[in-house]
Amino acid sequence: MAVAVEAAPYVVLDDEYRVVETSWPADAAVGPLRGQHLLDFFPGSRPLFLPYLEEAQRTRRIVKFAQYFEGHVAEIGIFPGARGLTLVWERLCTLDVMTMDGLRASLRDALETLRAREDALHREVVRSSLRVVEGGR
Amino acid sequence: MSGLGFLLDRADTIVQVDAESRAAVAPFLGHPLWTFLPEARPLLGPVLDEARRVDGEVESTIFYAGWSVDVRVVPVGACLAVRLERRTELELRTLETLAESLRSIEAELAAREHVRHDRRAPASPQALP
Repeated sequence: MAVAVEAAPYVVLDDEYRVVETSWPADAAVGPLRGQHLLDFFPGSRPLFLPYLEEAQRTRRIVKFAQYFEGHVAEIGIFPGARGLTLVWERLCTLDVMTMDGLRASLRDALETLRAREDALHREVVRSSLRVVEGGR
Repeated sequence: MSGLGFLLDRADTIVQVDAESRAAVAPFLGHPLWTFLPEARPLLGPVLDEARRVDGEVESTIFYAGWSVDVRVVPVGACLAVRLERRTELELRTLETLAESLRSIEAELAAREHVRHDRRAPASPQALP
């Protein structure tokens, strides 16, 4: 029996945030950017993503956050490793721009999703900090 | 759809296309407008209905597929000549650009609505003593 496995899109960045590797689901969007600075190709993305990339690079810890960009809300994980920073993302919702009613409803959903994910991620960070304080229990 | 012109019959079927709109619209010749512009019926339908009812030119601005779109409908015999012009694009990049462009678009829609009400006012029942 054949089993379809959905690979997560990811991008690996070097220390200068240049694209050095992409997974095949991410190839169409960012594959052509290999060797280039990722954020240069997405105007407006620097203030939204750079602080998290810098945090992951500085702390060498996994950084997770939710962000709105280009009509989508996504949860993004940055995993520091030997090859550089691996960015993994999952789209949580997409704006419907066909009609004003659709836009308003989907925007409400997007903002609620963003808030809920940020809260959940914040709780996760607090929990893992508490585990460290309590000696890894 | 930057600027499109076409002719609709009584059933809102596209029966003729402007020369400059041919590339985009020609494949939909003979098909209902709503096949070419999905989900547009609640937005454009009332404008078409009004042009038929008053048997005169009607202008409006709608939000459709990420743009504010100026609509001009003129009855031509049994048909309606429709002209659509894209005006302002919803800028999706960040929440700030989205909010700013949405404010501009809502202002355009409100301004057009204001003009439409002003035009109708003298003939409307509310204007009567």
